[in-house]
Amino acid sequence: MQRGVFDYLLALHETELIRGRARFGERLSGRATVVGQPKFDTLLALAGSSRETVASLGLDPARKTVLFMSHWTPTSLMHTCGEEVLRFLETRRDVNVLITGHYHLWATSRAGRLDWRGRLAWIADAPHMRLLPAREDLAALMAASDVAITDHTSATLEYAALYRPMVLYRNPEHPFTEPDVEARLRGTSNVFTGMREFPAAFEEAMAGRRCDRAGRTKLLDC
Amino acid sequence: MLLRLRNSRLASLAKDLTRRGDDWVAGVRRAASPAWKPRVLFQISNPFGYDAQEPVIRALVERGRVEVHAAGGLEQGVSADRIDGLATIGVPHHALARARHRRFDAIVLTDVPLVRYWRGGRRVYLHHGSSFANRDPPMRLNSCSGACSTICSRFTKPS
Repeated sequence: MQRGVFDYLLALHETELIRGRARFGERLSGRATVVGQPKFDTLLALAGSSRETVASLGLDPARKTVLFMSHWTPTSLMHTCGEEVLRFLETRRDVNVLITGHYHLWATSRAGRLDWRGRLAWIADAPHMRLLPAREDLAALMAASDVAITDHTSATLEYAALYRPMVLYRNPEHPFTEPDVEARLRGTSNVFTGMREFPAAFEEAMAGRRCDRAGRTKLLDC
Repeated sequence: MLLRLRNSRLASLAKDLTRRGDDWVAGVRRAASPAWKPRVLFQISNPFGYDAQEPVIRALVERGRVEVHAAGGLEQGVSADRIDGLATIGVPHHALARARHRRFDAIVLTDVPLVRYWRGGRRVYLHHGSSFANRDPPMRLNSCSGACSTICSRFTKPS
């Protein structure tokens, strides 16, 4: 509908529908339905199969697994303090670390021409870390992890559905449009805005703090 | 100048007539076939978009109320294994260059379409992520059944 590009919209939530009505008026009538996000089917089906994925990557399934996910934009985790966070995790040999990111992050033409595969090549020498760029099985990686370190990528909301701890990077230069969503997300995550705050937020997440079920439900089902 | 104007009008008229003729032939074919099903094309644009499309494709195939097709994806980073998996559930996969000349009742897209479909088809937008740039409120926690039902109910009548 935007600029006449689409005829029908399968909306994610009621708010999208309300906004659409405000913008397109009667033209939206009968042309939009709230359906949610079909990706959840795959993610929730995989939620119980974590150990197999970890073992298939040559990592110890007995250890906790941390998933690092980043958006591709300049305000994302990887583009700001990602490398520092990963260097910190290099020292944490008691956990498995899986590193992935948005599809565009690994395309040099889209990510500010930074070659992240090259910059993170050192990860190959860390036996407890795996660099998994442009993977198609993000749902499996999410299901395999006990804690996620993430940012404003939409995968954060998918991970939230697993009701597992999240260490959330909030870049002040990337505010959410809805302050209410920001508050709900912060209320159920261990938030950091820079490397100085990261270690404490990480340890809190590892201890399972700030991951209450009621808060997540409020976040996801609004 | 006058000749050019006349030619452009003629070209526009010819295109319009061709489209109408195409619509008419399709209508006759549908009326003649009691087993007619709407043809729904999933245009695959990238791996994360396909993550959203794949469960809907499978659910639609299970329901059997529409004829499901897929196009693209290989050049956009979706692995050949995943594309090959479509054949195992009976979903034909077309090259985009060919699909744009075929007739579909609906085309399910997860990104702004960069391909023009010459024979029409309603364009249905399915989000490729769980929120747009993560600035929107989160989504309902339901499954692909909503998308599936919507596609079935919208397109089981000829467009």
